[in-house]
Amino acid sequence: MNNVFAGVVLAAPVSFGYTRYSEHGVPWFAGNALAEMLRLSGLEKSSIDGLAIASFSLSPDTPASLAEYFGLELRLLEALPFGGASGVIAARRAARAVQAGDVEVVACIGADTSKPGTFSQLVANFSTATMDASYPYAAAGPNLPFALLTQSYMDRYGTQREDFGRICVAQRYNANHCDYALLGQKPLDLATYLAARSIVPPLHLFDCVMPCAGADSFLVMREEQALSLNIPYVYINSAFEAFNVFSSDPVQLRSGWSRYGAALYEQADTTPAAIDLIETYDDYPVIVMLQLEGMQLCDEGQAARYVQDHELRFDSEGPAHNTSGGQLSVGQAGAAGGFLGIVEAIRQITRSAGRNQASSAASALVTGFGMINYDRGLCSSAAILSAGRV
Amino acid sequence: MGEKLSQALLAGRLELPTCQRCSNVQYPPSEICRHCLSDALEVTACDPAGKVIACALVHYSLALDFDVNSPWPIASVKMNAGPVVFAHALEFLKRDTAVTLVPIIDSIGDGVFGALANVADRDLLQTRFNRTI
Repeated sequence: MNNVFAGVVLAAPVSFGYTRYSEHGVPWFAGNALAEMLRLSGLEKSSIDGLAIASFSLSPDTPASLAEYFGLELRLLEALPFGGASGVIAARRAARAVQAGDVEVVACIGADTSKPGTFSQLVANFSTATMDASYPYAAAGPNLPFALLTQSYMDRYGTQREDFGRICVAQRYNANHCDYALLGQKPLDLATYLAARSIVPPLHLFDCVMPCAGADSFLVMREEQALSLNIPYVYINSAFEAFNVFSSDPVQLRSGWSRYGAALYEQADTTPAAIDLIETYDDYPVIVMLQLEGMQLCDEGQAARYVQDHELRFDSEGPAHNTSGGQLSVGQAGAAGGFLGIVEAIRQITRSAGRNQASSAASALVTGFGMINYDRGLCSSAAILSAGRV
Repeated sequence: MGEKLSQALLAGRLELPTCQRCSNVQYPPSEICRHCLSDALEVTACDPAGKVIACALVHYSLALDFDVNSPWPIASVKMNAGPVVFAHALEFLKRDTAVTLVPIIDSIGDGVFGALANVADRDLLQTRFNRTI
């Protein structure tokens, strides 16, 4: 295998502090995630010389201020304002830095807090484009562009609400077996999904994520170091990040996955059919479908058929999908939502997932999508991971 | 540039930032041409015609202004002039419906786009906002 990230591994997956609202700030969530990663790995704090951080609610503090806050002396500090694409991008950039010898260990953290009203403030001031061209149109936040995108997808391919519902129901089943999923205590069936109240039709309640607080994180280091620590780890076989792809499409029904997906499999010397576990970015179920299509799990426009033919549960035959329940059932902890998939994939591959452990999880595809700026998401990413030391 | 656009809409003019070098029409508003990177942009009149890409009914808003009179139909419109704009509509508009963009003043006094299949309905669309003041 021509592993372009040879010698570099991901380890110590942590999901910390998921709660609907919190009085704590981002440093509390990120700091606790960091402490838990040190505990899992057995590393001293002084071993961390790189930090990659994604957060929407860190301001007015900065990533640099976190170095001081945590007492870290760093050689690499990566700020990742890429929303749902940030977890894979963190892994990719950290792996490059470790591989080049710039740093020894990078802590990659997505963390955000949530207080009543903070989500509305974030949405109202998200970007100049959204303030000028989206928010004045009924102040629906991301629900508006994603409703329009979902309607376009349904018009083009004949997709029905039931097809989106299959994704949401399967993920809720997974969440019912995941301890930190905030909606994991609530069952969801297709009839309940279909009867849910309208938000911005075709989007209804269970198509939308619940904003929350929390942190997701992992460490990137050399394989020799992970072996000496005697900890489980996974390989990163290939990864890409891409921005503003297919910008002339009038409506975004594809993104970087369609452009770079084939090369991702080729680089990892694998195929879509050989993947055990799929972790997609699920801010809305239509985006899951675009990722399945872009990453060649099915043809363009065939995702509805795919979700009809696959159970998508952690314990089903065929590839498991969004085994934690995803953001739709765990909650969306801001930028930590962009780390949820890759952290869950590391956990699954190292067989430390708990009740939602998939039986086959030797390889995983993780995809990311983020920063809806006006009518489309500008960032996309994907990575293929495989078992190292389990 | 967003401010100039809003002022034009408030004055009842359908205008968009247009590159004086390559004629590319910009939206959302920008100070740099997305096509040729020129900063020679001026808010000028443009073809108000377009076709609906999709439409959605906003039942749940994050702003109190839109709690009344909901749901609010919002259409994405591919303008003949090039850009895709979001616009208020009177009712759900099917894909590919031919529409004309018109200037509307919303309930907080900002200039916004309306999308009408029949341009004679402009006052009717404006009335939706007048009721919410």
